[in-house]
Amino acid sequence: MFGFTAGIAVATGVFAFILVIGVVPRMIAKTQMADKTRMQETVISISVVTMGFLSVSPWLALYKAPVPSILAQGLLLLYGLGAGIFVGCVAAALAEIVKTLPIMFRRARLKKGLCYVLWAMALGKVAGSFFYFLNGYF
Amino acid sequence: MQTVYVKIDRNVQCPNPLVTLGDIAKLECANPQILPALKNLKIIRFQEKNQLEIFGILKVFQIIHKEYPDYELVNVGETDFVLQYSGEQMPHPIWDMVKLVFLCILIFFGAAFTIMAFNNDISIVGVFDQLYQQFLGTKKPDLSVLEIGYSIGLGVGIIVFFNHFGNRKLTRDATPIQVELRKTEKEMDDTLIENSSRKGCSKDVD
Repeated sequence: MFGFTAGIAVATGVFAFILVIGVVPRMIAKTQMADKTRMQETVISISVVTMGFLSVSPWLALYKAPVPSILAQGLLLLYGLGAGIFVGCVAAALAEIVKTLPIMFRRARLKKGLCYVLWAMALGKVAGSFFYFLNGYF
Repeated sequence: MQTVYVKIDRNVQCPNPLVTLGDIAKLECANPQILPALKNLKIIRFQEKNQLEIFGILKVFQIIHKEYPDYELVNVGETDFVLQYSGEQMPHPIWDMVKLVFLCILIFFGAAFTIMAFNNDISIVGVFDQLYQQFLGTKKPDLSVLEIGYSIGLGVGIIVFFNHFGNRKLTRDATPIQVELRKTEKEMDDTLIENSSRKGCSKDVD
């Protein structure tokens, strides 16, 4: 019973965060799939439930299933890419909402060269992430 | 009885210290011959650089009516606006480039730091460890396919989100940063106008 209510509380928090940040609506708008929003919601719900279950059950050894190792590697790559893109969007959305970037531009009184700064942010995150993983996690 | 339509933007930058009506407003009239005389009407003379004054449209109408009392004036622009003496804008390309490079370096390392701290916070290595173990059965190497996908995905997510790719944009919308910049400008103008109307130092009719 305790686990059930805890699960409900956590799920509410996760979805509230996703909504407030506004990442998912913007992604939907950009890929112009607004008429398939229902399906996106279903996909999000399914993925949250299954991966949540998977993450709290380390005994669930999926590698015993008879699938080629390449498929598993491919799935993991897809997972990593998806996680990275999502976290990247969240980071970008936060940087705007907190107004770090707009206010820095105003202070520096820069008119052109906006896109270089955005590239600097993206490359900085990629480099920082690789650096973090390559040096054994802190 | 001439009707003159006056349109003034919310924030006007003036390069000259002597500001005339033609500098700040767009005018339209069914009889265009009266417009040049109107455009030369003096509004204000600024004293020092970057001086900022808040004006109400009624003050402008008052100035016009002093000379031409029988014109009918219609406002199709803002009711209050900010006038700022920005001085002669000399372009400084070298200084701008230095500022840009400095800002890029700052943001590069800042972003790297935030993602490292974030990864530490969410103990992502633990998550990837367990997932790798469940999917492949062996212990995860230091740099597996998961980390590579994640790190590359970070860059892709940020670039796609900001709608910039080199100098071309990915879609036609205004990019989110441009939206935020305009929003900040608008909020600053609103605050300036509100502040000065409360303090009572805006230039308007009483």
